[in-house]
Amino acid sequence: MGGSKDTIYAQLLALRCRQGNVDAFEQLVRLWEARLFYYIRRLVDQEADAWDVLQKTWIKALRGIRSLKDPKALPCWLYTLARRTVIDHSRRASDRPLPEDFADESADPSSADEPGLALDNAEAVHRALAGLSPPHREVLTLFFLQDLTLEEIAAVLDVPVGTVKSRLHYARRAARAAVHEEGHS
Amino acid sequence: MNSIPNDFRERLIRCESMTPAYRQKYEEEMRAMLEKKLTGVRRWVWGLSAVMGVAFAVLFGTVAIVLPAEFPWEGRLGFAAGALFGIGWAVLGIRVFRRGSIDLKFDTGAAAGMAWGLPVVLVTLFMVSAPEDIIGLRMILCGLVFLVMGAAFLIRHVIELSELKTREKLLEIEYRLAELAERIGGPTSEK
Repeated sequence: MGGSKDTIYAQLLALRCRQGNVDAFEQLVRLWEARLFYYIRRLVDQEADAWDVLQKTWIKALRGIRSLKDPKALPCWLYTLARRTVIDHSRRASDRPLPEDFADESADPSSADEPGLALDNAEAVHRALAGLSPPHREVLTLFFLQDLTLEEIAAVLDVPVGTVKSRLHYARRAARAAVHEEGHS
Repeated sequence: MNSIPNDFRERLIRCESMTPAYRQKYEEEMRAMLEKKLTGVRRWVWGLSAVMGVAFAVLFGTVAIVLPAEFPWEGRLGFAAGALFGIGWAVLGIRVFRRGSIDLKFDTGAAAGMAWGLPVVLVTLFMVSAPEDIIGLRMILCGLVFLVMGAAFLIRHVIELSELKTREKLLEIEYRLAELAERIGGPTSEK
């Protein structure tokens, strides 16, 4: 994650929210809305819908935060809430296939930590993400947002860790190819 | 797990383009979500409850004062508690009515506290005033059922709250340490 201070602060806010502290919830929203919006925007076509999904995610979070027993699980919990809200939204709108509807590639557990990917140009990666298939875009977005471990990403996506590793491998390869292609064009 | 730079997330998020109008609408809706706006009818219900609070306060307060001297003190205290409850409820109702919204931070807690506190006081007085016979024993037993359940709920709530407070304090210490570590020698260990 971006720094353990941020992680601890988010956990602190989650605990305060459980005690019914609305100020803490407001701060939690401020701390997390940008990255949740980024994630949701990668899954939803229209920007207006993404804001709507984000707001619904916060409504669910406000109602359910008292049930979050372990504040360390906050990132995983928030991304799962956001993903479920996106799925609900997609079901209602029926405008695009759900991320989990896509077929998985065969697992390649050794590939997730593949070095030398040269994906450190944020703007290029941002553009490349748009060209990926939804499951690849989703897993790579979660990976780049740096809040979750592979196990937690697997929990959010409700797939085995091997599948996450496999998707990450193909997603990074596709993103690297896109970045490379953009550099040459 | 990541071999990507620490600030990558922030740089990536900055790439996201946002339409100011959508963002503003979202901000407004989030504000409304945290400060529950009342509809016209509900606002007037709060106004009416404030008027009733005042009426109860005046009624019970007057009764507590004008009752004859031989009236049991437990009963007089009960009326006084009712008057205090009425004043409290009237203040809350007027605040909510004037604001036109419910402050989730204060109003809900105050309403729950008053709604819980008054029955406890009244049941206690009810038990204290029980006569020394079989009817009195029955009154005390009935009151005890309520009070024991209330006490169990309260104890559970207090234990949970103190556990959360302890965890909060530990996290606060951890946060200060992380802050210090960051100041002294750059970012602390990554996930």
